Amino acid sequence: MSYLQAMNLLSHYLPNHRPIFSKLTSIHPRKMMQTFNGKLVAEEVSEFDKLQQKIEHLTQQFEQLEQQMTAMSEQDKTDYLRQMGSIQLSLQRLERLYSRILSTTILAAIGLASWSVFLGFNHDQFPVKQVNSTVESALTKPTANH
Amino acid sequence: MGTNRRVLILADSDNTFLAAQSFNRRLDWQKVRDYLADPREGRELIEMVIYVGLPPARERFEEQRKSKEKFIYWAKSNGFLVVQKEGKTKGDDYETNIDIVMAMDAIELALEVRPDIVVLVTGDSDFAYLAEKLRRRGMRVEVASVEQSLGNDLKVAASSIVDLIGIFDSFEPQNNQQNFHRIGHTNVFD
Repeated sequence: MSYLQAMNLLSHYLPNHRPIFSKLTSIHPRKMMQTFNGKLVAEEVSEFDKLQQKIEHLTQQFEQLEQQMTAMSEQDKTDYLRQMGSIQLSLQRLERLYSRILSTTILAAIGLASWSVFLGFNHDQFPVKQVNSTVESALTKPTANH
Repeated sequence: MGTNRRVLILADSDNTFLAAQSFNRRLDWQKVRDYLADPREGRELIEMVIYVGLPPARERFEEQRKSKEKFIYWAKSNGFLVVQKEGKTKGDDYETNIDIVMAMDAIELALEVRPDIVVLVTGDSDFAYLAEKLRRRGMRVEVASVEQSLGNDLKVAASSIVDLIGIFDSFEPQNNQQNFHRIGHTNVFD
């Protein structure tokens, strides 16, 4: 990640300190190595360089955290979807069971109703037949005795 | 402090000695070492190797040889790594070909130790190819010398030139002879 990108990222995460980061982005970091009388020498690290190193370190930590957060949210999302799927399956099963029970109940109710109607019809016809047969027998009996 | 750079210093003693002598200065190797690998500048010294060509063990070179042997003893006692090579007579003079030893040693050391910076303390253009070779291996090659002793090929081949005129100025004068370069009146490196 470049220095400017790091500054932009930090200013994004720390909006209260945005003016400081915008100032820092306007300063170009110095080269660490340079030659002196033909010798390749390392320049003394200034406070600014130290600050820059710290910022780079912080940026790396931010990136790691961001990655972890993303990974965590993805994990949560996957869990949630899995749970939702299992709940949906359970609901479908319950729905099927409910349909079966309902249809069975309706059929049973219809059966019972028809049965009771049938029984009631037969019950109403029985006394009339009995009376008729009794009367008929009573009328025929004395004639036979004489 | 930023990241430290590991520095390997390889010095051609004869060339550097002659350069200091041309400015009438007594060569202070410790100052040279501290200047080229200053921890305050983020330069961490791995080793400073001094390559010394010894005169042949002949009577006419006896004084020079003793002087060099004393220097070798002193250098070893003061934390320098010394590589010496016996010379062979060539006419009235002698030759050691220490530059070949230094070049081969430099390649070997540089590849094994993998320093960030190799400093060649010499002005001899024979080391130009060495400088290029090391640079091709990803190492920064700094050549430490003075303008009067620095060959153009080496100057071009190096990553940068370290002018030793400033550090020579801090050395003690060698003697009162007048035939030497005056420090401060030369146009040092561009």
